[in-house]
Amino acid sequence: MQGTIVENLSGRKLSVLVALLLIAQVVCFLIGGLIAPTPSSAYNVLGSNCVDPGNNTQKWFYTRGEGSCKNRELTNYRDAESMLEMANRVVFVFQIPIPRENVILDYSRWQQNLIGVLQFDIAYHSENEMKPRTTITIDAKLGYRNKGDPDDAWKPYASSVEERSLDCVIDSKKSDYFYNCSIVPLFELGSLHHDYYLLNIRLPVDHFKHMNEGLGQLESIYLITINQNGGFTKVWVSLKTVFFPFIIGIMIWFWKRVHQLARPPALLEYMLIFLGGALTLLNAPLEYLTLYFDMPFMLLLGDIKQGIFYAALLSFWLVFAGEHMMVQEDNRHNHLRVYWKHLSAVGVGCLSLFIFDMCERGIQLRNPFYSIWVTDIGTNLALTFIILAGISAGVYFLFLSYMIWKVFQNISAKRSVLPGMSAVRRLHYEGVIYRFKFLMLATLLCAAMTVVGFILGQVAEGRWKWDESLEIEYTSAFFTGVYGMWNIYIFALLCLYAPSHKKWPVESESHSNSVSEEIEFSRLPTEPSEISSLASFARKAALD
Amino acid sequence: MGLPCGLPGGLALPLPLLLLSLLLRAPPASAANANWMYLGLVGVPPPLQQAAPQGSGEGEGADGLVMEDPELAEARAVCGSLPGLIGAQTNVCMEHPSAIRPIAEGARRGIQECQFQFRHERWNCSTNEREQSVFGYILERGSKETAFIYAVTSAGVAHAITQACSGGELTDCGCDPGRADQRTTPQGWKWGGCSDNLEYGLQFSRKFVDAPERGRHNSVESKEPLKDPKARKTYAVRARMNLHNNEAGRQVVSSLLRMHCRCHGVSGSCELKTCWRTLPAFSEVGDLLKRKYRQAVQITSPRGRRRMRRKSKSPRSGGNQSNRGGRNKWKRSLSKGDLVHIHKSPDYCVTDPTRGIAGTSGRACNKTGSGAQSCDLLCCGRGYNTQVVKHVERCHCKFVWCCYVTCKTCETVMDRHTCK
Repeated sequence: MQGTIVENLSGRKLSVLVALLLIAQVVCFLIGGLIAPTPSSAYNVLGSNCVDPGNNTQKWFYTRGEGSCKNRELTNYRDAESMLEMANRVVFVFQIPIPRENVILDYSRWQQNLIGVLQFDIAYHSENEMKPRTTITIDAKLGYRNKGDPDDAWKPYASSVEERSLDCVIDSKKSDYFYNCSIVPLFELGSLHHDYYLLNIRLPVDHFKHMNEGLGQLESIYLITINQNGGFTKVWVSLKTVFFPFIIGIMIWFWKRVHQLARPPALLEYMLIFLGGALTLLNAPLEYLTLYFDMPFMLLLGDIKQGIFYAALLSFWLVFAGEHMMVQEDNRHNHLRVYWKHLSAVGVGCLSLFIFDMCERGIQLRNPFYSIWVTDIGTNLALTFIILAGISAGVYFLFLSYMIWKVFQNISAKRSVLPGMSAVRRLHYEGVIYRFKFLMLATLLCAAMTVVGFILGQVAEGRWKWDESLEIEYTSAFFTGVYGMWNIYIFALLCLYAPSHKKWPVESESHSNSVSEEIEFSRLPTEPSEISSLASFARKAALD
Repeated sequence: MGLPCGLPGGLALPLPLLLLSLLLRAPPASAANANWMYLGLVGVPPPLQQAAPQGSGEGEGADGLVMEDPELAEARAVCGSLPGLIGAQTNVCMEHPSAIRPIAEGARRGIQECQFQFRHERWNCSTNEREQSVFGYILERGSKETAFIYAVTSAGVAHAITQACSGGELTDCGCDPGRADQRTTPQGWKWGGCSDNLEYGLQFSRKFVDAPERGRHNSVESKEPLKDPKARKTYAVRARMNLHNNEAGRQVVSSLLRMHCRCHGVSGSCELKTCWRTLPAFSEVGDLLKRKYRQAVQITSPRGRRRMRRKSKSPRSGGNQSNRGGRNKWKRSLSKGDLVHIHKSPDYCVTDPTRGIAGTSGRACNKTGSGAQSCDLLCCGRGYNTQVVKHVERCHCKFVWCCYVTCKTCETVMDRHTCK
């Protein structure tokens, strides 16, 4: 591989470029921190208890608007026989979103997705203790309505009878204390296309099937709805819209430069284009389409896009380290085949995550109430795939560390023999070392910042400052910052690792290369010893 | 203000004597006023056709205005008939007419919890339904019990309002969208979401429950002719005590919130996590307040009172609480969640109709126990009667979650002890 721009760029130009990119990075962080709201927000919706007068499982029950049903207090533990029917006729109604400040709110398509989680308030009752784990059967029905529709025009969206397990513990067994029950994930919608949603839930009791018999004294059910915030989506999509043309532009520029060379593109150049392509896929602002079309597959698509990007990035690092191994047989490398062992770790990891995702979010496209985690087989399956992915990640990092360690060993070995080499070889090796060190530094910095940011975010989240208004929205800043960072990283890679136009001394040429180029190269901010080695090189050349 | 003293029909004492006894013994704050907590006993009465202001201090006359707005008319109909509210509270009701039902529910919850918590004690949180002051003298005394009542009802309102917001039955709950961007609700909600309902519940409780005390606190002179500066000062101290205890009740609610989180990042990873808080069962609130009641701080010195004023005004909380009781109570720093009182509890042993103290005679007690319900303590050393009763109760019950239960009936013969 010939020299790249990063080696031939003067120190001043390089620092200007790096400074510009750093500014872009700070801007990304600040956009998230100052403009964007939190990525998502959660609302507690208390279920109203309606009573189905007949057995109208087709009917929609809603609590606001014309023809709404009355909320009835659940009268617990009446002795009348007819009350058995009652349990099967109680419908828990959640009409979302709930109004605020006397305004009937409606969902905006900018809010992208909706997650529903149930929380059961079960009071302790000494005569009716709950087991630590109870299986409950939920008959759930989700409907939607749009603005302008009549109040009762609810259209079915999805319905399902789902089993979920409920883990409830109680610290102090006192009457009327609530159990501390695990939350029950109910549904996940990949698109928020409609204005209003309505969830009707029944907890049918059947003594023959022992359905819902173990449920304690249920006081109320809360539905927690989590949706992305419209403001965050707007900021996010704008960021994507800005990055998208930049990355495409730099890819075209890069590819043109590669094609201007006489030789066919090298493996690393293919990898860089692949990486750029994966990022472009990630950057494509498909969210605009969700404003007009119902695209419930957006969550899955987002996961897949992210997965492809990670695969590309991880493969790139491997190949990059491999290509800088500086072993003699250069021809042997330059083929992806050589890396099949290493890349298979990436492949297996990504594939298992993909399968897991398809099992979870893929099936959710058909049934939003589905979750792989609720059955034991599903949980084991999901865990298998996740553990497999984890193992591949471990294997990958072992490979990568080994290769990087190898490269560093070679570097130190090469450096000791560097002064004794011919000029072309020396320049070649110095270039290789510099390229490698530069990327190592940049990558480590990016990875460290991502990890540190993530940990900081987790810590800040755990403390949950709710009564002091924090000026910087940290979570959003983390997301935009990290997203921007990887964009800038790849932009810089495409830009700096493009082949240089400056002529290199070719092996067949004589050693009488122009002095100006040598001087330009020597200005590189690599090591101070470089100049002395150049001097020794000059002496050596004179001797030759 | 409304009635100087809600005269219960059952009291046989003549009015002058009652007033005299109040003036002699009670702090000269005020007589047993009508109180908003009365809503918790009687609930919200059906709205009147034409709002006729009833005795209990309306903010404005109902008939002076033209009723063009049906909503306003409805609000007036609902709020006009409410017993026990002061002007400022009626105004709050007029602004949020749908909130009055949760308020009544909150008061009911508070009173019920109080009665549950004190069911075994000498004072059993008894209420008088014919009296608009609900607790009568106890509410005016300024003792630990007063502190508990104020805290538990204030907490009840915050709890009930928060719940009503979540249920969607209270449609005017605040949204408070974001700090920097002042957007109106629909846009603000779509942009950055709304705040937690609990904040609104707390705020509302502050606005409504604290209103009488704030009125007392700010304009002591205006309503009652308290010429004596010392009396006025005592009056203000009482207002501060009530405010502090109201806030303590709310503080307890927010300290008991549970936080839950859900991960929903890429492939469901915890890259993105959203958390929310859920309300505790109200009995937990009651239990914690009962614990605080036992450690209630008596403020006796003027210095302590000053500190209380400072604490009740400053928004930050003290945090740590020590169990240290004893003589130098005022020396420990008073935290926001502590209950405070300025007077000692009266003697609850003997019936004192003038103060509405029922006494403990006739109360069921526990012969073997050692706690507050033990016959020794509850009967104040007067001894107890023992009866043999046949007790019929449900047993071996089989429950189904909502509303159904099959039980057998079991009969047991047991001794029942009642105080003399």
